[in-house]
Amino acid sequence: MSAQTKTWWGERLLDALEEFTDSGRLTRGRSYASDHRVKKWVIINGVVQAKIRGNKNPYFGVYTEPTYKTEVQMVHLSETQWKKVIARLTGRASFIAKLLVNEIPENIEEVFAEYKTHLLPNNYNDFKVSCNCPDYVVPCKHIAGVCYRLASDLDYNPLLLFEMRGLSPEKLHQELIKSPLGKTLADAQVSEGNELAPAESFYTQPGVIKIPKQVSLKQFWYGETPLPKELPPHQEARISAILVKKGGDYPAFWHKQSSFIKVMEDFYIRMRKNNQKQS
Amino acid sequence: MKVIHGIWTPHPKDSFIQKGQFYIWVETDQVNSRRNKNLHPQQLTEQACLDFLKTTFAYSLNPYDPEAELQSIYLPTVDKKPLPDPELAMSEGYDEVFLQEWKVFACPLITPLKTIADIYFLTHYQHENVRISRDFLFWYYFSQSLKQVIEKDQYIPAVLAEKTKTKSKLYRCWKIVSPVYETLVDQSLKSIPLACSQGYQAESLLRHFAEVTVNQIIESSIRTLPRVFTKKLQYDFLETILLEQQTDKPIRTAVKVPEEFLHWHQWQQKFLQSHQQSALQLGFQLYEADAEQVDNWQLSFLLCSHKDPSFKLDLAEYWLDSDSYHALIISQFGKSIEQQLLVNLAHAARIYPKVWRGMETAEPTGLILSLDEAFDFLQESAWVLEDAGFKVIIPARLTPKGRQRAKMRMRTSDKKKGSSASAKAYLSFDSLTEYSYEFAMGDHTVSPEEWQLLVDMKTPLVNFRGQWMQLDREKMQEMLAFWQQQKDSSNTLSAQQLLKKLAEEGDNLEVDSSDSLSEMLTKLNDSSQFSLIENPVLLKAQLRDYQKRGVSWLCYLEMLGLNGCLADDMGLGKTMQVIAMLILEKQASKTAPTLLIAPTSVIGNWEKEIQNFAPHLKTLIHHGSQREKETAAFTTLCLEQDMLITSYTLARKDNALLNKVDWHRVVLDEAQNIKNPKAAQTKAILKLNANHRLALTGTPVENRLMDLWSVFNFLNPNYLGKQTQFRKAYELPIQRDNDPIKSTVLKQLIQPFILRRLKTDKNIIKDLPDKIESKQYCNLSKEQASLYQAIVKDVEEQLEEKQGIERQGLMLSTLMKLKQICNHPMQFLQDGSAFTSERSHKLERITDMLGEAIDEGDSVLIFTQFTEIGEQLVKYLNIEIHTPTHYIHGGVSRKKREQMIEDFQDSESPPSIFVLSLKAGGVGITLTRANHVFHFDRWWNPAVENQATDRAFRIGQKKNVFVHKFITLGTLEERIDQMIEDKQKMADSIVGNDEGWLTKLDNQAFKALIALNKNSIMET
Repeated sequence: MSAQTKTWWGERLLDALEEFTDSGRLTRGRSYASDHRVKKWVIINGVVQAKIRGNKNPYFGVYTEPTYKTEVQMVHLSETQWKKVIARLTGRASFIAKLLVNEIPENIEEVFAEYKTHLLPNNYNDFKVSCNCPDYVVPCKHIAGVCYRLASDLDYNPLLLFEMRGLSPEKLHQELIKSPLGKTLADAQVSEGNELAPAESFYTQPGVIKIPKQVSLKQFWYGETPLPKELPPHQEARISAILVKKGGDYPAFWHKQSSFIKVMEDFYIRMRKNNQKQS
Repeated sequence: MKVIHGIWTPHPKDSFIQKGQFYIWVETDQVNSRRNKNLHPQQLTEQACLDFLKTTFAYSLNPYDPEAELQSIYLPTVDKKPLPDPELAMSEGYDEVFLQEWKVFACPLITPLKTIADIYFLTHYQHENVRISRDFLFWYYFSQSLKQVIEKDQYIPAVLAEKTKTKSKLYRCWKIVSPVYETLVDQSLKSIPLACSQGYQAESLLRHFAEVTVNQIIESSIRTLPRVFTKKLQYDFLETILLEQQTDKPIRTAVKVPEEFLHWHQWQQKFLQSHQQSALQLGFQLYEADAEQVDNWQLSFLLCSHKDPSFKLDLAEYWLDSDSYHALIISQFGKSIEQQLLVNLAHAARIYPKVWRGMETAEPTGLILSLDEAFDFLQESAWVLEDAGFKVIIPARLTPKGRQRAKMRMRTSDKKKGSSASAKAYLSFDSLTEYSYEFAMGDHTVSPEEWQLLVDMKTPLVNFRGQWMQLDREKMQEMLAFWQQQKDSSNTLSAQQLLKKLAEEGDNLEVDSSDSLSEMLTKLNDSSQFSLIENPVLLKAQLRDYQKRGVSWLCYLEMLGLNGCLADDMGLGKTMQVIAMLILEKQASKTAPTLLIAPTSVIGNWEKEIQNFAPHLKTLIHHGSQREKETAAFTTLCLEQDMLITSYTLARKDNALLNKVDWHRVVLDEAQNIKNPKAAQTKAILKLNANHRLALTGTPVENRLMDLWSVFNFLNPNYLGKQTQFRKAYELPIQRDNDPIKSTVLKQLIQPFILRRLKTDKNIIKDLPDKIESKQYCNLSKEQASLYQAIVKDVEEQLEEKQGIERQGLMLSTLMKLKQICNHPMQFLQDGSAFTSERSHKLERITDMLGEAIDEGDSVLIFTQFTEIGEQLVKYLNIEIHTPTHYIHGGVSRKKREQMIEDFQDSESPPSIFVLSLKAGGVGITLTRANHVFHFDRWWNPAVENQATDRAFRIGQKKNVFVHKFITLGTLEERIDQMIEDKQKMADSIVGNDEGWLTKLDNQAFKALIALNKNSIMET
């Protein structure tokens, strides 16, 4: 998985990162976000604890492939701050709806600002980072890699940002259920599962039944109700890929900067043209 | 005759991907000589089947060589033989039948959706001797309705995992996500016959068919995506999702499902889950702004239900008092309604981002749109939201249907204005009118200056004279340019050109409602606008009101130089209307004669009706070997006539002769006879010279577009274009592709020319008595005549020698024999010879009439007093009309009889024919589903006949009943009918309750009664 980000909030995280490091180091750090490099990745109490596969580096006296312990955390908001923020967030349907469909509302900072704080990192002061590599520059490329990884995870799990800011999922749940709107979000979090359960069959299996031995001719040739007199009128889609549009742009498997929906629009238009030839 | 069947066969259930194949097989009326226990005996086998499909439907399986495969199907089986398909022959008399497996040679369809549509189209509109079975018909509806899913992008790529011991096998599958599809499956479950579902559970079979077919189409479309597109996805995971082509195999096998696949799964679940979710449907309602506050368009959020279209609750209302709605909401949608609502709002907002604006509150109710935003909403977003499954309600006058349109208006030029009478006269003389254009918005006339102003307006949504209107400025600009170019030149159009222009321009053009042209158009499009003519003095009958209107319409059309088609339902009296028109014409001035071309079997009826109702009209039958063939004599003879009647056959044979006369009018009775444009008969008829043309038909020609074209090609050549043009412009789009716009244009084009009144129209019903009796006169064929003559001769000799009982016996048996001959030679000869319509005009005529009735969805009763005729009719009609036919005679058990009556009365079953023997069917039966009653032969006792007729005409009958009594001209049938008519006028009692009263006639009178009038013989 290449560690890039497509969402505005992911971008903001990386922007903040760029503020305290040079771009060369950052570019090198990007490669440390890959599955190949990340050996361990857990988030405990709002702290990312990662183990990163390093490189041999004779200059630093590293002759066997090292593994570095890297930690990244963001400054936590106080419990009272969170309580107030959540109370405000759950008063607006747009916030909850966006979070429900996995998006950070663009105007979310308005709420945090009211309590003299912010959600997304502005600069270096919002981070606490550590790495046990020999590189004395902070952040090192391993830390950069972890941040990249974090940014890309945030793309499809924006509530992770809350956790990084010190609000555990349990606490979040507690606060959400205090209001009706918040409760809808809380319920959704609980019910959301992502297991790829095995399917019985590729297509619906035609169920075999015993055909009656004896029937009336009418039963055999006619259904219970007559067929409709006319077919539904032929009508093409007004706009393309409408179904996919409902699901929102930038699904987790989409790693490009360009719009996923745009590509799908193109896909469906071409398919419609091709399909017409066969039907 | 061949019948096409369709089978959906799922492959054996031994793999994760269980596909299936659609096959067709062909049943015939020929018994196959190859005898094999399980092989269906009446089918086209291997090569014959392929050859037939190739030649008939251009069937091919390119690039493979098609091969027919043996498939097993269950079919109703009696006496170790499969019963024929109902299209081939009706099988009567089985309550319950056994189902048994039969082997058929079936050809696979590689592109089922397309080929099914082609086969349906071709059998329906081109091949007379090929029909489709009920099972194929069902698959046609189901498969063609499925196209919506593909046309509207209602499918997504989904990942599926197959369970194995250690590893996960991952597949890509195209899943249908569509409420329309779910509704289709629900509805189809009710209409699927056992013939289709066979040994499968119906719903799973339908879904299997749909899924396999849709996947197949999408998969093969993917293979032809251009590189321009596929390159874009290179090295991206989406390439795996969309373009992977190993669909029969897993696209990935892994111990642990890779993260991307989980993400893919997560993505697809959004659609699959919300799709399965509750009935909740989010709605949007737009309220217009005031003229003063143009930026104040309110868009409200609604709570609606997929399951109950009438349910609608404003969200504002809901929040205000959500407690009291709680129970109602839970019952409609289940719990977690607010979560569903928010997710729905978010989904809508993704398609139409302005929705977010309405959600900056805890209880979202809607949002305000500015003028420009409202326009965008009306223009696109509303329809996009609707397509995405949301309910959208906008003010009726802003919908495409109810919109106040900018359009051009036509009016006759000022030069010609003045009294409307002069405009009309102008039109009628040389059928030309001068006209000019003006602009209009909805119902308001707009000056060119105002128009220019509107075109220049910045916003396309304007409040014009107190009403919001949506403007298509580009179109208005075009109209302006057109007007500037037209305004100085003078334009003329014939009535026909005008009608064509109006239909083709649709909503962009109308005729000024105050103009005389408008009156003409209103009349042409609505026959009820016609005033009633006075009943013609010389007509010996009273016209019904709708008939008077019909005559008025016929005259008006001809005055405008248009040629029309009178297509009233059978039984409403088209003949009478034509006769009335001829009377009025003759009264007004002497004109050239009218040429009437009719099927041989109705020529006698025309002659008789003219004799009865307008004996002063001079009519000549041009038929038979005695007809005048010499040109000069023929033309002289014609000029003395008001009408010449001939047959379709002679219209072709004597074409040169008929061409020598300039006819005032050519009338085609049963005009569907010229439906084949290539036939010599049709070509010959098109050549005839006439001032006017008129087509009569009782079959709904508008359902078969090529027939329609053919009739119009006779009436108004070029109006619908050349055949190939018409095919491309209308037939294929409408009948194959189901194009609603083309269909509307065509309807508008033809409507002014066709007057079709149905016996079920409210306006017609009020003009009709509950029971309409009419007599159908037929001629004897040559064969019948010679048999008849032989009997008469024989009897005349014997009659003088016999006395008393013997004499009476002779008379009765003679009556019987003669009646048999009038029915059909075969009945009299009892020799097992062919029961065909060539030998009896009566049979030919009843077959045509039954076909018409069934086409219109009517059920009919046929009475006969002869069981042998009943049997023959049932057999014959099975083959000719393909309609369920029941037969009750003395030998039918009570149980059987009740079953037949129940089947016949069932309003859900297709229209059927019920044959009854007069004695068995006379009493105690209610058959009110029938609204046509035919008396094939006559019982010379009105009381008995009426009692029979009353089977249909009973309590519970809501329709008018048409009674048709067949009478053979020039025979005893005609004379006895006359006697009954005369006697009934005096007293019913003279006629006893049987036919015995006839034996009281003296020899002289009896001979006169049965004598044959040779003029009434009609060669076929």
